[in-house]
Amino acid sequence: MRMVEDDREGLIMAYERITRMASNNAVVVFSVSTCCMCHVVKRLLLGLGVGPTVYELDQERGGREIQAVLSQLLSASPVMSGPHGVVPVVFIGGKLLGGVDKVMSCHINGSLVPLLKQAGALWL
Amino acid sequence: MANERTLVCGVQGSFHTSTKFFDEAESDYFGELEEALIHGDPITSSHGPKKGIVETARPPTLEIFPSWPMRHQHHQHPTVEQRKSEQSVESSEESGSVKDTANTTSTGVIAGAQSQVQCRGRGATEGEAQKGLVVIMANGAPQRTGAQQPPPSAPQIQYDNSHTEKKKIIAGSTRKDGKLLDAKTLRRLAQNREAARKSRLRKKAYVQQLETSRIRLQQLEHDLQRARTQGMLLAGCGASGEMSSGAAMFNMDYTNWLEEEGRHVSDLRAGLDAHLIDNNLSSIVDDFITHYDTLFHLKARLAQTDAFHLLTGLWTSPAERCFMWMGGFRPSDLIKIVTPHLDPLTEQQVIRLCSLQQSSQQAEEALWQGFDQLHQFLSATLSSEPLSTDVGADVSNYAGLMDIAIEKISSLENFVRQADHLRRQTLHQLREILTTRQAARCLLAIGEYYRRLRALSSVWATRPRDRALIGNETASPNTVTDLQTIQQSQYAHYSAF
Repeated sequence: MRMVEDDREGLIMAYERITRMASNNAVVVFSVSTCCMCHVVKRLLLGLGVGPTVYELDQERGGREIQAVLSQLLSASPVMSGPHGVVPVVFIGGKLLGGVDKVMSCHINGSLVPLLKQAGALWL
Repeated sequence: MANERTLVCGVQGSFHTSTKFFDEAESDYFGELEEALIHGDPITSSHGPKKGIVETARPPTLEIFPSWPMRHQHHQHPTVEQRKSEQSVESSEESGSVKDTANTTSTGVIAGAQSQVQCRGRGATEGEAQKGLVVIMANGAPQRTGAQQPPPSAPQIQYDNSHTEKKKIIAGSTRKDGKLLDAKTLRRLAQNREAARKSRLRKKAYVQQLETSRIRLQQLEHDLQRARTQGMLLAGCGASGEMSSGAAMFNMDYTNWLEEEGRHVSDLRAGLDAHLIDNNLSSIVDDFITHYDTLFHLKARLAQTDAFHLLTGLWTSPAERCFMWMGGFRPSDLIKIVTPHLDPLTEQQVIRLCSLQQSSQQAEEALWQGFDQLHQFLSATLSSEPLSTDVGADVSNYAGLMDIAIEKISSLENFVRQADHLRRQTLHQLREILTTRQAARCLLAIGEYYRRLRALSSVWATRPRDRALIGNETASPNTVTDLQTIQQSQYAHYSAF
């Protein structure tokens, strides 16, 4: 019983942390250091000239809870979860964008760059 | 007496229209008949031979409707039998009515009309329907199947000339063998005939189908033989041996997909040539794009079990395989290929296309980098234990090594899917940017490009290996000619492929 409550508290705390982390920076990427797909997203953003804030959840304390909360947040949209869980997850301007699928789609249909500009992550 | 005689004749058929009826033989017979009429004696079958005489001697005009042909020669004796039994029953009446009917000529309705032969059969359409009422009489039972049966207990003879009685007589018809048939039987027979005819037609169609299938099978076998000799099928298996079952199935699905693609291409071409309005052409275009989506879906499914198969391209032709990018076409390359065929483009479209190409390139680059990282991780893992020692000897270490390696490449599936996702998004975005006609031309261009690439594979496979045989001074033209002839012969082979 107590553990469940702890878990719940942990999740609530994690959620608050995520919200805080996401709103502190224009572009936030939750990643796992050994995840190659996370590498894809990072390279894409870097290639666009964006300096994303990256949180490696395997190196963060409470990383597991954050992953759990992220899974919940993404349950609405079908995200292909990799071997490292639900990462990568991208927030732009404090708002959840999605996983690598979503990032790619947005970039191809031309909506990613305007979003980044709007969030102040890109100039020009 | 003379009267009676006449009347007997009248009764006999009342069909007579001429006065010349009998010759002597007949008159003998009718004499007996008279007696029977008067005395009510049933006439036994001992009169059979006489019947024959009667039959053969029957005057040709023994019919109530002279225009109808008579075909009742062998119906006579039942007629007579019937008449005899009737007459035995009704002799009294008849004798009475005989007098009455003396004055009637064409109508000779037996008084009381007790006797009615219901002859059911087809109508008078065939002209043999009537059979005279002699025939009708012979057809005593309503359901005659052509057998000459004695009439039922109360057969009714009706001479049909009156309209009131008309409906009771439905003239029968005879078959070739002269048997009498009623309507139900005739209907059944007609249905049988119809069914038989349909059956024959079906059989014919089926046989034709079989024939064409046989020819197709021969052609397929021939093509298969050729492909085998060219080493096309062998190349795919390579050192790894057999394909996984999922891969084999995917290959089959892909072959079907290509066939369907060919159909989409021709539909699109036809649509463009016909200058369809945009709405109609749009649906053909969208169908084609949906067809591509189907392929991506198939690939995604295989990616779960056999990502290697997709990435190594064993499901495509060698030339495609060689220049493949992450299990398929490279989106930015595709845009480069189709852009020249989309003229005229508006400025807005040009800008958007450029932007699309750039985005594709960036996405491709990012994906490739991730893939490369995966490769680096795998290399590192496989070489983590000293390579000089035989790690296989140490089972536990080896297993551990493999586990880590497996974990590293477990995202392989994701890479294939992301690459296909990129391809899919690019196609859809192209559709967005272009007009319907431009999109149609774009899809045709893509289809044709890959068809040529596949054709190149087979031409390459069958190119003359020994150039010395061709002859040095004419090497180039001959090679070209040879390649052309080979290409043409391969063209047909690959056009469906």
